[in-house]
Amino acid sequence: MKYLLTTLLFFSHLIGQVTLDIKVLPKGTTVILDGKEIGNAPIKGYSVKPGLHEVRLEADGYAPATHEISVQDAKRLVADFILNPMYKIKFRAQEKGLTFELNGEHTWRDEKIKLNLEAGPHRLRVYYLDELFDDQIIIADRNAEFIYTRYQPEPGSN
Amino acid sequence: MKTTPHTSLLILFTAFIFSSCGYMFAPKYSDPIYTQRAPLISLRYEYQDIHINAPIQLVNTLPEAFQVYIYDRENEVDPIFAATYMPEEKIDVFLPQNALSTDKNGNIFVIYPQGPDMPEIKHEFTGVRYGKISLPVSKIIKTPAVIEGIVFRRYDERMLGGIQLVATDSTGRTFYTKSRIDGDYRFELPNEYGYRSDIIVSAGVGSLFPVVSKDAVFNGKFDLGIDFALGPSKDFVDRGNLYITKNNLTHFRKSSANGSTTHFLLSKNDIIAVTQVSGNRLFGLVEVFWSDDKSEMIQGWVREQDVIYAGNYFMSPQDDLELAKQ
Repeated sequence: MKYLLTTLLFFSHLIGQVTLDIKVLPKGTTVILDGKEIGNAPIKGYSVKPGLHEVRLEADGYAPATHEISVQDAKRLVADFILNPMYKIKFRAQEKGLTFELNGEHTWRDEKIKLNLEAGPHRLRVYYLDELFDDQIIIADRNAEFIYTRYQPEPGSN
Repeated sequence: MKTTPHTSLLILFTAFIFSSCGYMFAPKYSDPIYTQRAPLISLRYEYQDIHINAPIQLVNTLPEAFQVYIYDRENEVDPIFAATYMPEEKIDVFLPQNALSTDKNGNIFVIYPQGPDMPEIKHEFTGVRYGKISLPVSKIIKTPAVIEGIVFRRYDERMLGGIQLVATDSTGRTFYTKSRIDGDYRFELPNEYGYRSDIIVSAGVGSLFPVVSKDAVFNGKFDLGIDFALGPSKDFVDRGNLYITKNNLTHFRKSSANGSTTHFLLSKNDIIAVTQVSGNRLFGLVEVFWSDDKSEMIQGWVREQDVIYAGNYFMSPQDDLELAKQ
């Protein structure tokens, strides 16, 4: 009876399972599914039930990512992820007394500072005496030095 | 000013330090700064299909085609699948994954053979998410001509099981069946009998009950109901002691004298309710049925040597009826 129940539980668990493969760039990314670490990418042949699942991906030098997947009832789901790299940016301002704000939440007043930026566009706002002085989009696409110069429209352009 | 090579090197080294290591003492922002941009993601689903195999067996017939439908048992109006197959084609149905109900017998597979007198065939089956389903063999057979009914004892209307029934056509071709324990019987005759009217069904063959025969007239119908009441009526049983004739062609005479007029000849197992005995002559009644509910009792004589005492065979409890089937 005990074995029968165990067998029934085993088979009822298998019914409706979808085989999940997770591939991530970079390889070796830590994969956390619904709060439980299930290994390092690539993950192959992990069984999940259809429905909503949360995948969190963590790798050194890359921005961690959390993604909700609505798993449909299928034989297999192959999920490919490409994580955004982080870049080391050396930031330098050529003017003094400015306050810098990045993405509306990170603020500093140093003329020189080392930043760890996720690849992609960031909104830089510059204040002088609490007045908005400049507003521009900067793009992090490699490890580099960023020398801040105030945005000045080209002559003749509106 | 004259500079030595060593001084030049020192200046170059100092310039290098100030130009490339200008951030050596610069602070580091405490937190990484994210764009909140989702990572690139692609999801690829692999679906399986459902393969339903429905083997067909043609029994002396060849339909023009098959109409095949699959329904969810909860909705027999809108089919999940509908297609026409030619007789030479295998009936293989392919459906996408999860197209079927996985409830027990939650789906219905229906085959409509295209042609006269071929009934539809239905299979209830349990679906799968994906994979193969093999349905039972569907026998395509023309609608049989069915005769069915019950066999019961006229005396008390008890159902009679194990009674032999024979259907015979005008050419002498015969079909046999027996009544079940609840008195039901059923003949399935070939389709062509549904258009005929020359079949006679007899019940009680081989038993102690007198054989009762009735015409089975189909004339285009394919389902006839014919019931058989066997044995004497209650009224008849109360008239005297019951005897049965041993042989066919037994004389049933108007008087006890040798050579007196014969009413008619009795058949084997005909029943006589004997009321008087005179020597080796027995006087009694014979019950003649003109129809199931219309009969006549005729008085007459038989010789004692032509009959045997039947006791209470025709009014015994159900358990004793085995005697009557001998």
